[in-house]
Amino acid sequence: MEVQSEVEKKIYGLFCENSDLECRKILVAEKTVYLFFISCLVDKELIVNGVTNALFERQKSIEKDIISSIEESVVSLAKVQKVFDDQEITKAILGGALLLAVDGEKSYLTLQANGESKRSITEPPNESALRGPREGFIENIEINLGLLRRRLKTTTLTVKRKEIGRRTHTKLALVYLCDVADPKIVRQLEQRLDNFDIDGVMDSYYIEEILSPKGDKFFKKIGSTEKPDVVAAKILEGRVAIFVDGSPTILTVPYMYFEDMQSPGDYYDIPLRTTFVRFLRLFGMILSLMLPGLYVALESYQYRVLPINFLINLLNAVEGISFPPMLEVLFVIFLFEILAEASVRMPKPLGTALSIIGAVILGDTAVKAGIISSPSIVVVAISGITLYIIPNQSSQASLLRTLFTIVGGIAGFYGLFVGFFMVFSYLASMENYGAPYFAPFAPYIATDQKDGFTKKPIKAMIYRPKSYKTMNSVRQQPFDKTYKTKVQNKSLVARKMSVKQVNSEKNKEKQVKKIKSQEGK
Amino acid sequence: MKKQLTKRQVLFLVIITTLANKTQRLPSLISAQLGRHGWLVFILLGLIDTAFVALALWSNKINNGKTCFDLCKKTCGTKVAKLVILVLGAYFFVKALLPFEAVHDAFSTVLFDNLPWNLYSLFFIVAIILICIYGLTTIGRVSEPFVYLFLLSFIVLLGLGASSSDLSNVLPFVEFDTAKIVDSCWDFCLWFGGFVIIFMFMGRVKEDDGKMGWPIIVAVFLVNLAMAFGYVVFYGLYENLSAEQGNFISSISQFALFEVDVGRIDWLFILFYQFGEFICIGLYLCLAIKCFSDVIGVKNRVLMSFIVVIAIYLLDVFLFKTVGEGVSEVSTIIKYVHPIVVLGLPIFFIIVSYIAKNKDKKIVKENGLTKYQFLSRIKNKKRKIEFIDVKNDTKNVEKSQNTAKINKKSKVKAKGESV
Repeated sequence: MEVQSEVEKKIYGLFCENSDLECRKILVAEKTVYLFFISCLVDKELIVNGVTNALFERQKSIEKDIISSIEESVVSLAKVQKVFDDQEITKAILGGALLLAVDGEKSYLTLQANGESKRSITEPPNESALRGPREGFIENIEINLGLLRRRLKTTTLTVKRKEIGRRTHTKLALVYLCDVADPKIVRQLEQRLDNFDIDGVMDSYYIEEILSPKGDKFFKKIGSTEKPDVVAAKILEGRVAIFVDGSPTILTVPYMYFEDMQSPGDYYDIPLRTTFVRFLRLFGMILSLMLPGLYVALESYQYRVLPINFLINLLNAVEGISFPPMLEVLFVIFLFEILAEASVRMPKPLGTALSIIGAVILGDTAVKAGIISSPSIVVVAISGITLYIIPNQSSQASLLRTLFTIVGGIAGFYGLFVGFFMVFSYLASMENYGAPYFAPFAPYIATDQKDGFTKKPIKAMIYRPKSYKTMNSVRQQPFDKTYKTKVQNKSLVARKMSVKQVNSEKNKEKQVKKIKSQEGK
Repeated sequence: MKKQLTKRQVLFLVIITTLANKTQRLPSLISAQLGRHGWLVFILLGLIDTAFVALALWSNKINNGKTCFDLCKKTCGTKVAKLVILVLGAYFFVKALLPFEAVHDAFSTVLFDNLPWNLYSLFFIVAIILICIYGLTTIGRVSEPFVYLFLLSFIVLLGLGASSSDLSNVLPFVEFDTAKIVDSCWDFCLWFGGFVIIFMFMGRVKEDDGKMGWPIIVAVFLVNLAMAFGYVVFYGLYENLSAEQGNFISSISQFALFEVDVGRIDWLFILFYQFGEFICIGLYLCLAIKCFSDVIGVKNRVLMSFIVVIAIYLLDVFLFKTVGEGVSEVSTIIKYVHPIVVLGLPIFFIIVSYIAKNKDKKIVKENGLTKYQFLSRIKNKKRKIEFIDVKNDTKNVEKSQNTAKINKKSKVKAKGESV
């Protein structure tokens, strides 16, 4: 491309041989106006209708100060900004804006004319619920913020925007209620983000790692969801949400371990059922972690715990297996993990076929060949199903399950119980942005138990969680009190009315009697 | 001082330490000396414990939020304070041997036929080192869910035992030898006095306005009463053979499920019960580490945890070759020192707390302040410190932000970025 004018030299000089960067020249008021843009980032229709046509039509109204008069009276686009700096110019063009330059002028105009492709709003596959909103976040931060804004129509909803990534310039937003969230947490988050220097951010997981407290990288420390109603509820509880452009997963801080036991559907179902389901999830979680280890420990060491008939059946089933129980179960676990991993990556039609081959044919043949026993398949299958009862914890749980199987195989119940105690103590010792990781159970926080394993009706949740600090702890007026006073008032009114009625009736009777007596006389 | 525990956690820790010590070999050792009258030891020493718990809580009530080390330092000077804390540290270390031996017994002889404990216990040692490093806050937190499992297991095992026990074996209970019972109380005092941990909790409990009292007193009494009943059940099961039984908690439910043929499901409850023993060991050693750190002046908790926990491991491996014997040997020596610690410390701390209180009063009088003003002064001091911290925090944030910006720019320049 031949570079002729000063302006073209300057703008093209900012980019390294960029064939994407295009330039459209228009003669306005005897001066050349240059329009620079990256063709794949802008909406060309918008440029034609909002800029070029307008420039041609209103040429006469443009005065000597071309830039200012274009800004004020020609361009009809929503966001127009004057820029002077090279850095601002590159940022605007790379962000999908149109740069308007004029020969001999020191200032430039950036005109927002983004034309990105967007995915439609669908239900997130990991967080489907039987009842409740079905919207899910998408990869566009502006649309995601809009989805949240539609739910939280309050002036105190604060959006702090930032950019992260030297090369990607990924947009990021910290969202919280300024009269509810703890400013210390916001400050900590900002500090961590500012101190981090990375060349690119591809997904919110990068931010999750940046914001996780130092040391442990095994357990999840930051909450994540793809549902706007969940984010809105968490913000109302005094948490801070982190939106990252290009990722449908929104992060929330502070996060506690038991948050993942709460599914979005829990809040749209009757409390008793929710309580039952939460206990089921806890039981499932323990089962997924411990069952293979318990089976190995029982078969290898503490077989006396089992009833004698069951033990005989088990011994019959295991007969002829040449591997020790630990190796046998580990083999099945690895087989399961390989199948799971392959079925995620494979094309869908192939995946179904593969799972049938893997689960039925391979399993059955392995049992018949005497490589593994049927009880170990049953145990790993139960553990595998329960592993996904809390999808957000499944990756950590699958690793812990393998660890407990090894420990159970080496040291039986002793290893399992000491191992469990170690993991529990470790989790109980952690604090995450001022919130104990195992709250509200270790330490026990009475008010937060209303939304713990048991769930109370919404009207009973008067306070925000007390596991972490908030500026305003009261969530709602005590419903029962107002209800009671209303009822009391009603009953008082009713009583007064009834007394009046009774009195009036008595008076009437008296009057009737009087009249009758007078008539009689 | 950072408030590490809640009142609820203190209650749970006292329950665990009071019960976990007594459920290993103590009933069989008592039955060897006293036979069917053994339960009286639990009642007598339990009552003494309850009375002295009340005294310990009273001294805590008088004390104005100071730790026991600070309290002794203020009233008796650093040397006496260090001596008292050293005695407490040694006491906790010795006390930790009881649950440690209980765990050793439960795993190496009850649940396994032949577990090479010297090697396998290293795994357990790692767990204890970890919990000692995490500290009192974590132990308090861990105790909250596990205390339910611990108590539930105790009740279930006791219930199972009671269902197959002949309780009339302890009758007639009137004809007892008082001198013999007093002697036994003297011999087995090491297993009692778990409440001494309360002194270490002084000044470390959240929202403690001296109202920690009644639930703890009642809990200590009830636990000792339950243990006395446990002894009755135990003796009812084994009669004269009870002296030859090892672990109380495992032998109490040994024959209960025999007829039902469901396997030894009671083992699972024995395992759940072990969580209480783990917490008890962790707590005693953590407190011992705190005491030794105060005396020596070493604040490296990791190093201290390693030294103390390895010491208890070495004692278990090299000195106490058979389970139970070691503890019995230790108890014969400790029984002369133990009452001084258990009975003397509450009285000592009451006196010391009163002296400290009078000193505070003097300051109030000399400065012409009301009690409220004095307390608000202390609070204001704390607030000032917090305010300074916040100021420092914001300064640090600004500084770090600036440095981050400078770093970014310099890095960008260095790499020749076209930003």
